[in-house]
Amino acid sequence: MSPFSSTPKLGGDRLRIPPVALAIGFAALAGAALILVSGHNPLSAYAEIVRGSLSPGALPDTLNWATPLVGMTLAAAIPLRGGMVNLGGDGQLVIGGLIGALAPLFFPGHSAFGAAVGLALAGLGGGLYAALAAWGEVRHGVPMLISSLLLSYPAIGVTSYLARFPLRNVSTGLPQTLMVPPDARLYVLSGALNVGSLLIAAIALAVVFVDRRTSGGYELRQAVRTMFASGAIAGLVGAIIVLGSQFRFIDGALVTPAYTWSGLMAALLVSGEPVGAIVAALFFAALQTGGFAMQRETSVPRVLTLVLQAIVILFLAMRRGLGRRM
Amino acid sequence: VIESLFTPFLFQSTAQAITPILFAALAGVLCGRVGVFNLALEGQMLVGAFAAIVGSYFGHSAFGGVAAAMAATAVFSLILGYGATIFCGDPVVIGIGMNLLASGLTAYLVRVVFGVSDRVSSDLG
Repeated sequence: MSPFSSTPKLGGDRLRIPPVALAIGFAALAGAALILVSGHNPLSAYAEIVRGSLSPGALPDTLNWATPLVGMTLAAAIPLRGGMVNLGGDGQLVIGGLIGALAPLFFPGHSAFGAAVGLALAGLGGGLYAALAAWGEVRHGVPMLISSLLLSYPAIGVTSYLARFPLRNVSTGLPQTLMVPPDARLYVLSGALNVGSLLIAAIALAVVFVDRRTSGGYELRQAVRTMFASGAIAGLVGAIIVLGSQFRFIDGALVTPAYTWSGLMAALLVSGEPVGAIVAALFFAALQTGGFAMQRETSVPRVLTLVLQAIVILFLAMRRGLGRRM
Repeated sequence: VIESLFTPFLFQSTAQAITPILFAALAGVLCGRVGVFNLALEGQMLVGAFAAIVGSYFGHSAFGGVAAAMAATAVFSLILGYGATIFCGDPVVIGIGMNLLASGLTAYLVRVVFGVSDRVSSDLG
């Protein structure tokens, strides 16, 4: 490679508007071709995506879908700001989810208190687990890019074992824990929306504030503390999903929707700039929620939205590099 | 216990289990030698697996499947090849994007081409 085309570092200039519009346009064209191949009308499919995500009736669903996505985006964005990558979001997510599902069961009768304890301990657990990767790098020189990812697998394995054997709810045939009591569930605001979304919104505001206004934003290089904050958010997201929508820890239910990777993508696109990352996460959430409506109404498979999302990401990743070289 | 462990079956299943890992590792090393961190191996294997099914189904031969898999994955990998060098995108971003693209595209095409859906792909976020 010539010196001009050396690998760009993470971090750098903020995203400008034109490339984003170009990327979305390009993705829409490629997606339209795919829809035509399957013998459907691209325009009606896209209309369903927009209506199924942004119409007043669908907006709560979009925001509910956006809650874990924005959370995992923040978890990915914080370390990126300090030049680190947290690839272990899945592990921190399941740790938080399991703690969130178990804590209320230990406080029968005080279930709202149990839920609060669950959220706090889930953040603590996820944070400590992520900090382990940072500690390994600072103290023993184990690269965090690798250790954070590898630490995910034991966490997923152990929580899966716990949900399948010692903690399993034997009255159902599925690998899942006991139901969280109804009064320990997160308070429902409207439809699918619950207090967890407000919690994530508050955290998002806090992250933007710390990033912009305080000296803490400059001290992000302190690896252990940064990774603790990142993991704590991931753990909290796990507990919010469990206490707000699933009401029990189900083996695989936190990892399969790929919140971690969608969030990481949204954060990487803007090199961890929090406001941009949140906007990207909201866009992905709208796309994915609209996909359900599209599949329902036009029978175009909703995985198409995953393709659109990937094309936007790929286009932006290359467009940024192209712009830098010229 | 040790004697019952070291049976011909162990060596056979080890050879079987090592094949995909060894090939993936070789592919990763190849990219590493030219300075491109290949995070897209998973997506490339997925595209290859899908193309192998399409190739063997329509070509009525296992060889057709292997040929289709190699051709399709080579074309798919151009995204990383050109993206990370000429368009100087970040290989990590491109790799994760390609994995996402592969899982979405194969799940979409398997429905379009064969008219079926599998539970895993319809659960994908």
